[in-house]
Amino acid sequence: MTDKEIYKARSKGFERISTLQSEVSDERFLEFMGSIHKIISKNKINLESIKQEVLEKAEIRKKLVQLFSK
Amino acid sequence: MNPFEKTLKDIDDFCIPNKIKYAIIGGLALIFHKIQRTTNDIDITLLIDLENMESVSKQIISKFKPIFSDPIPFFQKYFVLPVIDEKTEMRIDFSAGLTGFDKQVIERSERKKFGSLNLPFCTIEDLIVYKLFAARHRDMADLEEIAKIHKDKLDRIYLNKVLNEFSKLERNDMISNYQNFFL
Repeated sequence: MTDKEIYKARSKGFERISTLQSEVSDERFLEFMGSIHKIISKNKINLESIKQEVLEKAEIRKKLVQLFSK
Repeated sequence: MNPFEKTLKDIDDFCIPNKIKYAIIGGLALIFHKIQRTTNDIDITLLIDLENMESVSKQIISKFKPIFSDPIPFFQKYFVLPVIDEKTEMRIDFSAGLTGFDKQVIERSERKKFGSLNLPFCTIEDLIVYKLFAARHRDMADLEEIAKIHKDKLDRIYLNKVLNEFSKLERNDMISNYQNFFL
């Protein structure tokens, strides 16, 4: 493999990293929805505690997005 | 120690026992070279070969959390592995230092004091070459700042030699940008 090919591949890699950072993958979305399902199952119909736990999760997600954004 | 120092210590504590030579490049290297700049992450170039990329990437992900679900194929395809240091929540981009220039950068880096640590930062000349190579708007702004501080104390013979090598990769723009900022 030549140096030129390596530089080209690496540039593409950095490009991919920067574009994917702002998006949430299907896998992570499903993981998030799964956690919501767990919260609802655990708290039954207690709307206030569901709201509280979802807000906490959303806060964590917001921090992660900020962390991953260049 | 601040989160940057803690993360850098984690990187050093990972690389030394695994006998992986590395250099700190990117925004943090700029800060080390007295350029006022903000950065959210740490860029590292590792001295490795194509043959041991898989084993090194396995070692990295055993210590740091990969951002992608398929980190090893991603590293093998794109030669960059973005991870998070879970202790500090800081982002690290590990690049495979596979080219002749990358290897030279790592060999030329010297351990220098940074806070309470001694770490291998790339030289200002090598940082200039990386910036000229990337050539984004942000890199051009960084080059302008580097020129203000370092213009009169650069190893010009080395820079001319390296930039001539890059012109063989059809990157003559690097020489013209260098001339614009540093001559």
